[in-house]
Amino acid sequence: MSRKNLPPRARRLAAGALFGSALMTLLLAARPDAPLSVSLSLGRKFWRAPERSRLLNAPFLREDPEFAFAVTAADARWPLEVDVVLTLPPAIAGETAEKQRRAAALVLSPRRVLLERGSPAEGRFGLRPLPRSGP
Amino acid sequence: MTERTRGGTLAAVLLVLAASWGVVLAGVTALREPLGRGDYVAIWGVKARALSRTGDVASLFRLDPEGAVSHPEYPPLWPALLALASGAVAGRYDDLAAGTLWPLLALSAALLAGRAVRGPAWARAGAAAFVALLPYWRIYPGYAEGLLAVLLLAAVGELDRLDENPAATLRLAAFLVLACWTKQEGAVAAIVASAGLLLAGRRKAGLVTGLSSVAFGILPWLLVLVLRGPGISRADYVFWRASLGKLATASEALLSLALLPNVAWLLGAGALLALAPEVRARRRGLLFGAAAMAVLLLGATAWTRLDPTWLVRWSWDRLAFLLVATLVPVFAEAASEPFRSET
Repeated sequence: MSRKNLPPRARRLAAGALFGSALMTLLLAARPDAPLSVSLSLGRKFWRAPERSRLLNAPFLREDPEFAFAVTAADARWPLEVDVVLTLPPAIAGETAEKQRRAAALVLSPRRVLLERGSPAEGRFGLRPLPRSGP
Repeated sequence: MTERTRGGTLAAVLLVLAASWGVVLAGVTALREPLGRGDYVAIWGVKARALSRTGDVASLFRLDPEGAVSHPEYPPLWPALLALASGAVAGRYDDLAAGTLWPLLALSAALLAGRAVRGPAWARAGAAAFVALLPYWRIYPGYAEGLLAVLLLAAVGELDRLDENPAATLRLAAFLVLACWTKQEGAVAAIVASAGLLLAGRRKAGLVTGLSSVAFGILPWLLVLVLRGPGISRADYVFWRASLGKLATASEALLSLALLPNVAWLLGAGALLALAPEVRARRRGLLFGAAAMAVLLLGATAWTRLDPTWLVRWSWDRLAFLLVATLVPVFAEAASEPFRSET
């Protein structure tokens, strides 16, 4: 397929069809994953909410409100210089536990959050400050 | 106004609307709730909050000294920008306020894609629409490739201006230095671009971009890593331990996960370029550069510490986004060549 053996009109048609169909494919795939009115309403609530409410309802915390409360409370209470130990029972799958550790690390940053397996003193998880280790 | 000019104007207007829709969707995705997906939580957001709260680059290394999750070796430009944007909007680090950068990046990428096109208005608008509608903007809000795509598109826009404007060389070098500070792929792009310019006989531009990328982009961060961070021993790649087996596994994964499912896109891109010999010739440096970058990124899997299949599965689409975004101006020019050359 080159300019030599394809008439100009056919070249224009082919180029237009290729670029147009690619763009159309992208455009058809670019659908909102929720109705726009729902997204705008959600956005309005978040932008009007105070900092702590935003965090409690953030995608990485909202699945477990008790955990979210504990992490945000720890963030408000503990100095930035400590590390934090998150204790989770061994029964919690590794992937789920790491997801919780990452969520806690995001909120508690710049504190380092270490995952410990064991029985929390009370409830489903434990959070405790740890004197800073390392640099 | 001829019929074709009218058609071109109408197409340009429709494509600008399509580009705007892409930017709106990127904005809605990022601004309706706090950023909080995958790598944003594990890498970018956690670092941005650390920078915002301490103002100290060393805090990036304290989060994850073993380099198990947060990649302490990644350059800090993206978390620094997230922290700055959030501070400007909310006065503190806030995952919702940080999202304001996202639609700005999508808009910048679209505008820069249009700027990089040498062609009629509809081709410029088409490039902008193509970039803004890429699914990346809706799937990965808060990730660093968005910034890297903007910088690479800005760099592509300078390539065609090197002869016309002496400042273009400096701008190109600046964009590539910033790319080095964004992700390692940015450093790979800077090295490929510099080598390509040298091979193409553009000694001054090649030297300026190459030396500045190394001196102001790559080396300073390596020094910070060595002097204040965990060194480079925690990096994902071990350069003294290559494995062809890993490369073969990664290639197989790439074939099955990325290439075969997207063969129609690849054939379409090839056919479009086949229709545009002038663009192919004028843009061969960029085309070879993108191919070289793809080969280097795949080749790097020979040195990875990670499972190559896992690595390809979780990164190919974001790396493909960078390559596609960088090449979109070329495809838009190729689409417009048959219309231009016959008039």
